[in-house]
Amino acid sequence: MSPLTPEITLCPLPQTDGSCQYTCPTSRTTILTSVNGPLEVRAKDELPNDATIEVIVKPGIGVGGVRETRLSTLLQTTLKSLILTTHHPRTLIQIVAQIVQSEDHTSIPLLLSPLLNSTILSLLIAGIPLRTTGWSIHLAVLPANTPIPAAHKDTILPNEEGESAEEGAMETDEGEGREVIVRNPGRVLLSKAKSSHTLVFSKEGQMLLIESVECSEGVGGESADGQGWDIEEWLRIMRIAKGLCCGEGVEVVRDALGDRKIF
Amino acid sequence: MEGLRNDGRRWNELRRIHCQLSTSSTNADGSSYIEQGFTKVLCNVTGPAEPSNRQRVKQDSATVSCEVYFAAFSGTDRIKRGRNDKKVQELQTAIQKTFSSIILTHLFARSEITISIHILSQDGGTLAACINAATLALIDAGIPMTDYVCACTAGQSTSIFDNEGASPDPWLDVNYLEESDIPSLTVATVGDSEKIVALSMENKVRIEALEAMIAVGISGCARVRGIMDKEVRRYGKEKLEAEGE
Amino acid sequence: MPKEPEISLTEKTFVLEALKQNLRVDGRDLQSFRDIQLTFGDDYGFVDVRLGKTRVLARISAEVTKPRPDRQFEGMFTITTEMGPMASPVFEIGRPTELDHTLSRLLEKSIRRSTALDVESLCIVTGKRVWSLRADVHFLSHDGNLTDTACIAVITALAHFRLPVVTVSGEDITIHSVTERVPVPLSLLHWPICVTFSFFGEDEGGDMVCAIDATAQEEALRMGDMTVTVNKNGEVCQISKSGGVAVEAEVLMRCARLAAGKVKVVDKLIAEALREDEVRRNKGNLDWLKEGKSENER
Repeated sequence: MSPLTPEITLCPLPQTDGSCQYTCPTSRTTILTSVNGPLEVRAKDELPNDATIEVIVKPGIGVGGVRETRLSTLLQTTLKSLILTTHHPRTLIQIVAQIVQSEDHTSIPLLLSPLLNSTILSLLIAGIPLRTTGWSIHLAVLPANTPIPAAHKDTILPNEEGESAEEGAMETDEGEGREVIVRNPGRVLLSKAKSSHTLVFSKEGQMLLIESVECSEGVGGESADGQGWDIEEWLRIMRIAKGLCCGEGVEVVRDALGDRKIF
Repeated sequence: MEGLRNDGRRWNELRRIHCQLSTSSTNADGSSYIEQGFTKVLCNVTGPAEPSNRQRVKQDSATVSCEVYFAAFSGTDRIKRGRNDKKVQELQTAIQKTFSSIILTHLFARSEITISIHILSQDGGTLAACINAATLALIDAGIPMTDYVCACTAGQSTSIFDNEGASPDPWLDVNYLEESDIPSLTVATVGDSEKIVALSMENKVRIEALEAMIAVGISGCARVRGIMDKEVRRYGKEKLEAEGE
Repeated sequence: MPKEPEISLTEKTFVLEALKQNLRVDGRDLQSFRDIQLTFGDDYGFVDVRLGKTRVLARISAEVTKPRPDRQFEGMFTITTEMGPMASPVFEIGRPTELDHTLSRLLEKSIRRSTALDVESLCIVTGKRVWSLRADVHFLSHDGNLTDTACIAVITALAHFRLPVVTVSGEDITIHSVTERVPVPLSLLHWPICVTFSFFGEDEGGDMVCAIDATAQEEALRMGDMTVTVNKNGEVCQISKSGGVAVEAEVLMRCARLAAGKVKVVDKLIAEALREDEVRRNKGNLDWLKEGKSENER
């Protein structure tokens, strides 16, 4: 098992229809999700032709607030395009995600990708009919010459080939080093990042979600040109993420499910 | 003055209990008023009636619900306790659970019996007074119960133990001052059976002292029952005589 | 609103008759807990407690705030419990059930009112700065006895938690990070632990059948319950029995004594688990030191 493979425990909660505990290998974010459904739906939430998808995100510290609502909306909209809701009209598919552990309980980028992956695995286990499966990855762009601890060296993603034309643009004035893209950064690395991107791709390579934020507190924030990202960079990130989600992501799901014959 | 408590009672003396049935002329089916020392509680019972909330309907028995209201002026500090106050909710649950097991609920399927309690003045033993008032109001409403539920408090007078490990006599029916100073418990018994239906203690007490406190509490319950029974009989007689005329 | 599925008559009769003969469906005897498993997380003050299929998480967190004006010398400590549909579809978010209320009150009385935590030790600068501690209890799986499990979880998490060291110079305070100064444990005065008894009516001999650590099935069938909170010194911190079947005082006393015995065992188990974690953590610390060194060299 590579050190980048997430730790996945399937069905940790025997009382639910499907559940999953997911630990991100690098950021140590641990999420526990449960799926129950199809259930009886409250009259006011009932949809005549579709199943209602309810996502509840429970924070590790404190009670749910705006952040949790934001996370659950992101999850809900992404999952809506995965779940075949028309198969169970007038029912409820209830998803609860509990943030068990995180280096920073207040950071949406740190939590989102593990939440999505854990939920997708729980849905598979619960036997909810899905259009396809998906996988999520969190990427962060670090400014050039950011010191990266040895333990996180293998999270650095290799440069894409045939990008020599762009390479020049990426270089800093002195021409030394270039920006580095790392995957699933922890709190420390993320705090140095210029921007952070959470993406979800389906198995077939369709993009389901992209959530990009500029990290203003990062080191890059000190220089004006270190801010944000341009279209070229964005496309590059998308290509990298697609490669990871459709390649490695599919493998991880397959390995986790093992001989369950769902996949 | 040796051995007397701050209000002049001996260890095993109850405070003055005054109770009354049918106190309110509103549309309540039964009502009562009880004073235990300076603790004053008013209770109304309505039902069996159609449940106010459809979710409360039980197919095979009646639902007992309880509402407790603290008057803002009832305590030493003027605190407004809302519906969602934890203490209010705890009292409600305790009373509701106690009476659910005493009322013959299976006789009134798909209906609701509501006990609403107004606490007018608090001077220790609030839960006990609420339970006693509810018993009286339920009797007044003519709701069948297995027996009286009577409640009383008992406090551990001192945590000093003598050489044999025995503690001095616990105090019966604590008032507000005693309640805030010493560990105390509330015990509610069914009829004269000495069986405990509710027990609540919120302070730290050595396990050795517990038994004596419960025993004193139970003896207090029996006496409270005597007083309540006397009033019920007196009221019943008065009512019968009035109807006879 | 989803409802708990009702237990069939056959099953009900079977379970109750078995209990009257001192037998339980899961093979335990009436006076024993299920296996208590305690797992600690990466950070301090986080614990995962499992009792059979019941699973509860507790996490302690601390922040610096202003004290309440009427309690200038005291820090703050709150326990939040919220049940969600993860534990059981019966629990809905934002609509607390009766169990929610009783449980939060019981924890409050057992842990906060019994002054298990010395809140005065949380004071940094009188009237200006205090620690505000919160315990978040998450219910993951409900198979009965949430109260006892939650109590064990909070106590264990409190005992496991380490408060960052604070230095005060005049008005300014400095909170030292974990890497700067070794954080200190909280000052816990005692460990109150809840034991919940379930009553199942009288057997042929007229004795009350009472069992501890009931499963969800047994809880649905019980006729009454009582929660006793005791510490290992034999001090009863709280008793609560509201309603249910009426029980002789003698039976209640027997329960209280039994609880005192059980608590000693649980107390030892928690202490043991904490020590094991400490050993594991110290080993980890050495690795971390090494790693830190190599980073410095670079």
